Amino acid sequence: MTALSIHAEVATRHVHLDFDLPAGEVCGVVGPNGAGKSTLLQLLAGLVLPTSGTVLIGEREVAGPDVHEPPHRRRAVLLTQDPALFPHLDVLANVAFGPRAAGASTSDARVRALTELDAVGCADLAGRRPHQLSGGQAQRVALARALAIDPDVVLLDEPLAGLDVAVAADVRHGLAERLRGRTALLVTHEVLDLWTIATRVAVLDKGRVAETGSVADLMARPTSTFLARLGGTNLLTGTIEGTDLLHLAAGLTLRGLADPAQPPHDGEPGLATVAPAAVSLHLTPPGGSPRNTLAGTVAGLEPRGDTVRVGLDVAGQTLAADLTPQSVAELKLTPGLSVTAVVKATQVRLYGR
Amino acid sequence: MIRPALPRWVAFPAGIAAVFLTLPLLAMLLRVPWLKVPALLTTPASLDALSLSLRTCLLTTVLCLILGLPLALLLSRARGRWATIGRTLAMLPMVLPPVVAGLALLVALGRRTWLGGTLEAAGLDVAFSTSAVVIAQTFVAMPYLVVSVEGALRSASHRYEIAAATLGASPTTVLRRVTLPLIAPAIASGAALAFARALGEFGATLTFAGSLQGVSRTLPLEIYLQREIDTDTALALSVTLLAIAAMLVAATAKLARGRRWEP
Repeated sequence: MTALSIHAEVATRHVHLDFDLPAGEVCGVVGPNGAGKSTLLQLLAGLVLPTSGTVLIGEREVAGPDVHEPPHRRRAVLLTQDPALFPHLDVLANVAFGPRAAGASTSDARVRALTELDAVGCADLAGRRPHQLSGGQAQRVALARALAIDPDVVLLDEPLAGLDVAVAADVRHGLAERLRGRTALLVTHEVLDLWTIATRVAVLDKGRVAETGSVADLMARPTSTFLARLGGTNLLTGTIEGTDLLHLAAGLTLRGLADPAQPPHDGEPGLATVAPAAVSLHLTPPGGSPRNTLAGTVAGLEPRGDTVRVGLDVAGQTLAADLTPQSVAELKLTPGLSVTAVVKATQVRLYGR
Repeated sequence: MIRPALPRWVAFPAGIAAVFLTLPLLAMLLRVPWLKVPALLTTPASLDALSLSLRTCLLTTVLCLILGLPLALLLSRARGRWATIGRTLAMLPMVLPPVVAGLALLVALGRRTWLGGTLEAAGLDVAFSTSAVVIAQTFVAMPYLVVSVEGALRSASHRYEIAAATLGASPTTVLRRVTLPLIAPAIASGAALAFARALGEFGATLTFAGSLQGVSRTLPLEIYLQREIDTDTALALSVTLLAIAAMLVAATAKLARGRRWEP
């Protein structure tokens, strides 16, 4: 059953989204800034109107040429980085707000609120005021408040972005637990959120949906550079030759292992992923080796703790290599330097589109 | 961090200003025949004026809230040229000389006007009545409530209203449970300002409602009348007005400061 169906354009934001989501799936939404991620959520929440097209939640058309359901009739709850707990109400009254607005009696709403607070581990905070909560507590209470209305869809716009790393980890697990089995969209920049909370992922780019699929499939075989980078791997594209060779450019090929789940086909476009840690750099091509050698130019150096990520330009494509600071110093790597990247064929995964 | 000091000479004109503002009040307090005040305040004329002022001012404040709050809500959402025009018109009575306000009301609602005639035919005799006092006071006091509330609404963040709406709250519920409670301090201080303004209203009341004991002769009018006949009574009533005004100012300042849900 389809829970969400968006086929709509927001002309002023240059966004044209075609997106469907089956019921009970939590879909991570990733993409560069300005790709239309927040617009997608706002279209569903009713905070942005499509200039054309339709937005469906379940069987209900909530936005279309002659339809505009206001936010309060959509049963689409929005959770952002700002918990926006009502400062004049205590925690219990905040969580009871939705049920009360839906017509529940004061006592029923309180019971429901306590159940939801308990489910996120915040029952002991019921009597507190929002200003007495920590950031993590406030975000958990905001989640309880959102789920207390039995929403048809939960929209999350980087709910963990404002939190400390340790607190975010805690809230992330709370989210994963409470969102399981619900229909939800989660905008994030963290690959950990995808693995922990989401079952599916949608990559947005320049106002369009670039790719969608299950988290496991797409992270293993990304088709967009953005998702590959988010997953910490290199993505190279080219044409398949035979069964295990990717032709990148004239005189430049990459041998690897074909992924049986999505095998590449001879003569068709293919993709290859390589972990940056599997790439080594040499100033001169090492001779007589069965390994892949790719000529490239150093484009940039980015220190990352105990490694340095070296960005290479290989025939117009980007290849990242993780080196130790010592190696970078020994090789005297500077932007513009010509180098040879070496990758073992067993470290290269080849697949078709 | 130490802020650069003010030049010392500022203290001199500031001192003169402070003396200028407090001296008349101090002089009045010294001149009030304190022992006779209870007797002076309980004469029929004084009691009529006091009770009329309190009744009409309370009614005025209620009217300001019932009509002024919705106007402030609409103005706070309005954009563009019409919003500017609307805000200017709503503020105009604040700067209008009260006697002009009274004249304007007379021209609009007086017996011989079309509107006044219609109301009179319907059994509502407006001019020179207690209703006229309330109308005159509401006309000059409402802008204070509207400006105070509209300012608070415009500077308030929309995030709570958006959160409430996505939680399923209808526009009325959002207004009742989120928007208005959040600006409650501004509503209270606006109402206090409107009450204080109504209490001091003189020119518009005199022009539009006249000065009939027990009907339209409010406290300021009674003070003006007694000023030449019986200075002691005028002073006793003045000090009462001063006390009420001082309490309202203090309450307004406290309300403006206190947002009880913040540390």
